[in-house]
Amino acid sequence: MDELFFKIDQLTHRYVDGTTALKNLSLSIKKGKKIALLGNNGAGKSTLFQHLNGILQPTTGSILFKGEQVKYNRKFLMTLRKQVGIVFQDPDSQLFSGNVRQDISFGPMNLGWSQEKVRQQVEWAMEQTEVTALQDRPIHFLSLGQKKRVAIAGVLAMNPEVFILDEPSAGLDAYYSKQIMHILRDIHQGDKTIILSTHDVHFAYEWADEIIVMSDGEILYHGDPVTVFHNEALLKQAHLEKPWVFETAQQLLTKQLLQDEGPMPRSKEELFQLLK
Amino acid sequence: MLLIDKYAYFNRLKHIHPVEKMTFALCLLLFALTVKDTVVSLITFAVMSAFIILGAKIPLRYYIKLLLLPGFFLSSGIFTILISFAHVETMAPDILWSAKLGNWKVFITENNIEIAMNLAFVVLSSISCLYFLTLTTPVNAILQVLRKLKVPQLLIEIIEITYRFIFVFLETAIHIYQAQNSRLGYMTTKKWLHSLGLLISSLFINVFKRAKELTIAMDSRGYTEDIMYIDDNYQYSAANWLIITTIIASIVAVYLLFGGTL
Repeated sequence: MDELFFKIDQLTHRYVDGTTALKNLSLSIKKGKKIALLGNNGAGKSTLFQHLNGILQPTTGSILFKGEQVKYNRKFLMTLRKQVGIVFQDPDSQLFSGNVRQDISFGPMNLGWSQEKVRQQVEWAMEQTEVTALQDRPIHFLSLGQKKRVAIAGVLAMNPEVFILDEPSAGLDAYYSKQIMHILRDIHQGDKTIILSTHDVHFAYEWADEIIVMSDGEILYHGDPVTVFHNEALLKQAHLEKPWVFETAQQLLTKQLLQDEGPMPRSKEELFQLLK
Repeated sequence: MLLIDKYAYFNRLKHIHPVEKMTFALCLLLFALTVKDTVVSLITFAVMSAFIILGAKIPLRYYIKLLLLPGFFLSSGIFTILISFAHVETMAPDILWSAKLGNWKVFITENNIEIAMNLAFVVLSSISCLYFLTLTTPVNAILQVLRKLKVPQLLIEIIEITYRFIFVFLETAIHIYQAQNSRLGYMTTKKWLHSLGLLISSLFINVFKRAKELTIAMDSRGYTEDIMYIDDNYQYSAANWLIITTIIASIVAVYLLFGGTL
């Protein structure tokens, strides 16, 4: 279970304009984990993601994927990208084809699957993201939320082992944010690794196995999703709020309305359960 | 966003196989252009308009508007064909109307009228064929056919990405325009010019940003050489082929009947 997918060692990334987006960053990502990456704007989350897909090359430091040094030749990148799918923040930069079904089939076709298998995968991905009804629509008729779901479907259909999502719920209404949570839960049950960046601490707290907090190109925290919210100084530094479930539980504990036993509640339901 | 594009996706003929529609439109177009016959052109125009309005259910008003679009080019072309200039003493047969301008005369001959009318009808019929295709067939369906016809992949990919980006840029341009307008960027002529300049330059920067992002996104989805998709499902229909053949055959027959030669 504890197989390492990524091992990042002392990674520094400096853009051509001189800004340093990642500073001496070290990180291990284990197989089968749900990881939420939190951090303020400009913390370097997107840059880190692009490294995991071999889009950017480290200025210094190294990245190991399944124990193998990431190489930036065509062949290695192809194998890497088969296993690591990334959904970008702005769906307009990802979608380009004539209609929804075609766009979703673009990735799977590149994997060299048979038409039949591609068709199945595309159907399945469309069902999961509830875009089946839109399949004949051209991209430019879709709303932002729809585009976002199509972008997710496009990567979902490729069935990667590691899922990277750059702010998947940004710009979505509550219903579809929840929908995406469900999708992520379903994907995860297939033993996938999911890494997503988000500003939604409530979601991260409830969903994640591990939380990574980034600020200014460095990792401030990497660990379980509860400990981090006890660390006031860290939260302040990374501009993070406490999840309301956590905060409420904390208040209830200090006012002794709750008995201090067992782990902190992670979701609304768990909290309400304790109140009974 | 663009009405003409929207109709291509939401019309009553959208389920017809694109090969059928393309064969139909292109055969009629080619025939009308080859024989350049007034009667053939008129029939072609009538048939195509009927298919557009009654078949595809495109609103008549919109169709007329579309026909008026090339009207300007047509009328300027016809005008120059219609009117001839010559020295006052030049004789020409069948002059219907003439006027003197000093040493020159302006005149219209019967022959000119015939040529102009013929041109007008041929143009109208060709336009109606193309409108039939654009109003009933989405671009991606046409591209799917072109792929099957082994048109160079590079060309198809360029068309495809250009097509997508028309809308991306239209949207970006509209957003920028609205943002400028809401901050009073277009109040005076001077400001208007300034704002427009800013709009264009930021669109230009956007082009590069978008292109880069798209390349990254395509790479990360395993893009290697060719853009490939699963094909959209269309069904060939024997009835449609029968209709198409009948119409083409009838038009050819009418042409021969009215004394045309192939």
